[in-house]
Amino acid sequence: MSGERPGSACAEVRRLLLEGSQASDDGATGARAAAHLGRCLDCQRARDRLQGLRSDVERAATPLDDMRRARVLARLASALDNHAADGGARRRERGVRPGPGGVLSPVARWVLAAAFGGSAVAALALWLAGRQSSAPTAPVASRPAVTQPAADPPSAAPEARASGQLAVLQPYRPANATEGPPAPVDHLEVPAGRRLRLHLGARATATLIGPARLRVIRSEADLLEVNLAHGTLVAAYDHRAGGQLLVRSPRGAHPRGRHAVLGEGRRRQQPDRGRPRPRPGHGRGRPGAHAGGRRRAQHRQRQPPALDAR
Amino acid sequence: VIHLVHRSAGPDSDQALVERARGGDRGAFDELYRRHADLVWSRLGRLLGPDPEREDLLQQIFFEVFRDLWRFRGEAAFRTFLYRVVVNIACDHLKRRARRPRPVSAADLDGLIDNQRSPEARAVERQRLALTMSLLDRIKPKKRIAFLLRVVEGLSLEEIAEIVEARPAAVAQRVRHAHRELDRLLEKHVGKEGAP
Repeated sequence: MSGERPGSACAEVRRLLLEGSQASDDGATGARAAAHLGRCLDCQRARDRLQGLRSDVERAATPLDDMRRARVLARLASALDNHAADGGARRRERGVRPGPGGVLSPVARWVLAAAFGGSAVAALALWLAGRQSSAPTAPVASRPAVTQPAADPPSAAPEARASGQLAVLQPYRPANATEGPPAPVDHLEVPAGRRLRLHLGARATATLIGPARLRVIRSEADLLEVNLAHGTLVAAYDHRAGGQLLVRSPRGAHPRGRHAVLGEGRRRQQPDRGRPRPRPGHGRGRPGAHAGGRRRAQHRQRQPPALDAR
Repeated sequence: VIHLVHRSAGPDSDQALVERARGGDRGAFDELYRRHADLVWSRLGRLLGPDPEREDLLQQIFFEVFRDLWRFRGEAAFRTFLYRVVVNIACDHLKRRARRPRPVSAADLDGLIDNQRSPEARAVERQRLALTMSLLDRIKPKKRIAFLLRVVEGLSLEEIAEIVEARPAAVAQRVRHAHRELDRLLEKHVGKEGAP
């Protein structure tokens, strides 16, 4: 820092970042700001944030495809025809506004507005008077707060908790770790910006993308049920040995339901044209109770589904 | 210079097409639409993000432009007149959207993400895009539009001022305020979720 105040230099750089070359009156200002940017971590972070935001927003500027262009043009032509048929252009030429203002005189408009205002004030006064007359004279004793139990998914059986069967979440062993793999646990939290790969029981592998919170609520021979309270889970299930992985997300943003079931065996019964017939399920994801048959069919995708519970 | 000459004097210039469209030539309407629909569409995408109503807004913009063509006196470029309508309609839409907030759906975001990437990478991208869009949604429409026109589209303050019909100093202030609010919201978000 060659005698410059750090705050003012930062402010100058931020102004240049936002307003570009317009913000610098001369070349010296730009050079000074560039030198400051080279050594100030805060300003570099601000620049990177702006660049990230720019690239994110640029993604939304998708090109207009031909189908959509033609569709909008057809609708536009129809709307313009309707407008012309309504005589909107003629009204504009005469200087008359379309709508109720065009048929009511100014005096009538004022009378109408005053009538509306008066009736609104009268209704408000009546409502206030009614409230005061129905209010109790003695102070009401404060009622005890009623706490609504949270709509949690079904919890694990007590004996299962006690026996430690819920500890089936085992993070991958880091490549540079000297000691053995970490002990399995029954719940995990991943901070923002971090990812954690883990085994979900014996048959599933998953990635938790932070910020995320995952808890095991049931672990049985053929069913593993977890609760994704927060965050994103990308899971792959080895369906060959059967069983199910049920992922619940109370605040889930999964497009196909509030919970997803992964891997329910190699075959499952599914009605087809009114006649039950076994069809291969291939252990792929199946949506929860909110999804319909059409969505189920769409859900058979090759990539493992990601469940967001932000 | 060639572009300006073409725009102002050529038989197929915007000005000539506008004159023909005013006379009721539907072909001139269609040509103006074909010429500018892509730019309007991408600008709407930048200003609003992945919005399912973008197609309706595109139609509304051109409808209003053609309906109000009699107001266009030719003092500014047709493109400026058009962008003014785009910005006004985008601003109104953002105000409506703020009254009925709707989180950006995962399907909308998936359309912006490269399909070739791994599920993990796509999930991270989706999360980042959702955060950016939700932060932008919390900025007041006028500030958001000035900020995006300046920072993303790279328009000068004078150009933005002409489009939004404000003074350049006011536009600069909106841009600065929006940036400050975004920084504050991002810091609050990072503080809430834990430092990366």
